[in-house]
Amino acid sequence: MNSGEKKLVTISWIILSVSLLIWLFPIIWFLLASFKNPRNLYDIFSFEFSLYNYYEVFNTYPIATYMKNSLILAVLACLFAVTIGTLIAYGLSHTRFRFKTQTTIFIFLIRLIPGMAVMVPLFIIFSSLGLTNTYPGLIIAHTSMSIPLVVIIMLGYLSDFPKELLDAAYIDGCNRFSVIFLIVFPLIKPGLAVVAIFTFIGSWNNFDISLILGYMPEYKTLPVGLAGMGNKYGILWHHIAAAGAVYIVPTVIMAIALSKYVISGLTAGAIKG
Amino acid sequence: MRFINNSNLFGATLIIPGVLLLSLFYLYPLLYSLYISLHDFRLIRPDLTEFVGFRNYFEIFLDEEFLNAFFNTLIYVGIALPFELVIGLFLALALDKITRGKNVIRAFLIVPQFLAPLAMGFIWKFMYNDDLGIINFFLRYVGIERPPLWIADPAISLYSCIIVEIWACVPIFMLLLSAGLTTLSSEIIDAAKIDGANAYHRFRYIILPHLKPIILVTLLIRGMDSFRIFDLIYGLTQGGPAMSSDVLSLYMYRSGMLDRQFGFAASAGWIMVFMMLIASYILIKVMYRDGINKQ
Repeated sequence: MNSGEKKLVTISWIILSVSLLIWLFPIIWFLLASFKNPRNLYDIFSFEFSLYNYYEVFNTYPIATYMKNSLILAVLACLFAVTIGTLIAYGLSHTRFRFKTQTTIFIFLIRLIPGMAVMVPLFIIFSSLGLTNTYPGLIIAHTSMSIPLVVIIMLGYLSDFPKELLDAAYIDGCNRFSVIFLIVFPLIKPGLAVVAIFTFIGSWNNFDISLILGYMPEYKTLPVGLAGMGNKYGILWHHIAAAGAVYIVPTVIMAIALSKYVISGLTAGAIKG
Repeated sequence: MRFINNSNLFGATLIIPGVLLLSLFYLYPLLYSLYISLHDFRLIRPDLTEFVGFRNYFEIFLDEEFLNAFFNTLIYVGIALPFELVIGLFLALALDKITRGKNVIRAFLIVPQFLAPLAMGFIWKFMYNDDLGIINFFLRYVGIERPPLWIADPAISLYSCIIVEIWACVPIFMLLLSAGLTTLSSEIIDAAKIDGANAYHRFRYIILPHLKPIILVTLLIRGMDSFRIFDLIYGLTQGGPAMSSDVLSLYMYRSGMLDRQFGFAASAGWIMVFMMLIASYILIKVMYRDGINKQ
């Protein structure tokens, strides 16, 4: 390594350190604010640790209900979307379904559609079916939202899947369905883990669907609840900070702890998609 | 020779239920929205709904609120995308140069990608705040007496939103481009070095052409996500003050859900869908053309 190269490495380290600061500071600063005594919130550098914000926000708003709703939706939508999406991807990559190309194009096109263009008419349709402010309605919406990404990522994993294994299992007495559940699913576990993380976080982070289809207090998810806090009484920053921390910490931890999966999923989804 | 009989019918049983669900959730609302956009739609009195042809589409282009949201969205995407690409590429190159700690840095830099956009909006609203935000505290500290009112000033609120959008999306550009860089074999770079190519030449004639397909795909995906941005701006400004940071998705939400102007909301939706189709068609054409040239 010559001196010019060494200099480049040093410069790279400086750039990366600065960017780590830029990208992590706002998040850390926000989380710190949630532990700050609200009395000195306006005093930028004084920090007195207190859990008062959390105490107050849990007592003022039904945060536990919001969390429960967010969790139910994220878990169930994840389960359904991963199953349905993987079956579609398997159908597209390993069967002689006649409309493979059309279906693939359909699913890719769906990713282009702006959410809001669907949400307003969907609100009217769901209202007339009585599906707004119900768990089934919200779960259907969250599931459908996640399916296209599952299909696109799983197509990547499944198109490399050795066909000989399917034949071997079939000869050994599996039927066509049990091949999928006994042979394919266990062998693509890493891929399933990736899409499960993505759909879970996707539902957890989703705001527009929940805002439009679940606006009654008992069906609000965390983000909808959070958005409501911002407007009603002006801005009570100590509430927002505590509720916001409750909302973002799970995803931040997931993203860092599962970064290996998460990074492979992001690259697979975008490059192959 | 295949043994397992994965016939057309079997494929259909796997695919059709999911596709039906997607049609119910995407296709049907879109077609319904086309119907709404071509009618004078009354939710409460369906009997008064009458066919008006393209009137909603003509009228919407006379609606100042729509035009404002329309151009704001174009500015938003047009400014954010190039910055995201350049900064992301820059970081990807820096990441490619270091050897140790690469994965750790990548894992931490990617965190904003997994934050809810709404939460990002609040996080930055907190940073931008004039009284208790750290940015203006710092600016006052270094002697600027009247620092900008980031999101409270109609003249700059859109640009403050764009800064957050760039902050939010640089990580994904960095990640994808750095994934692209790792597939570039070092032998090619070494060969170029021996042939006397300097750093600029290596970047311009080897690295950039290699990354081109990834850049185009990322621009396409990110461009569309920015185009339909909703949560982030909802959290930051809700389109205000005085509609200065209003974008199309917010316009649709407001006109459809709050003002009950379903005709306008549906027309705006179809205008967005149409623009997205054109943009992605052009980009895919470009990618396809490049693919042909390479062979």
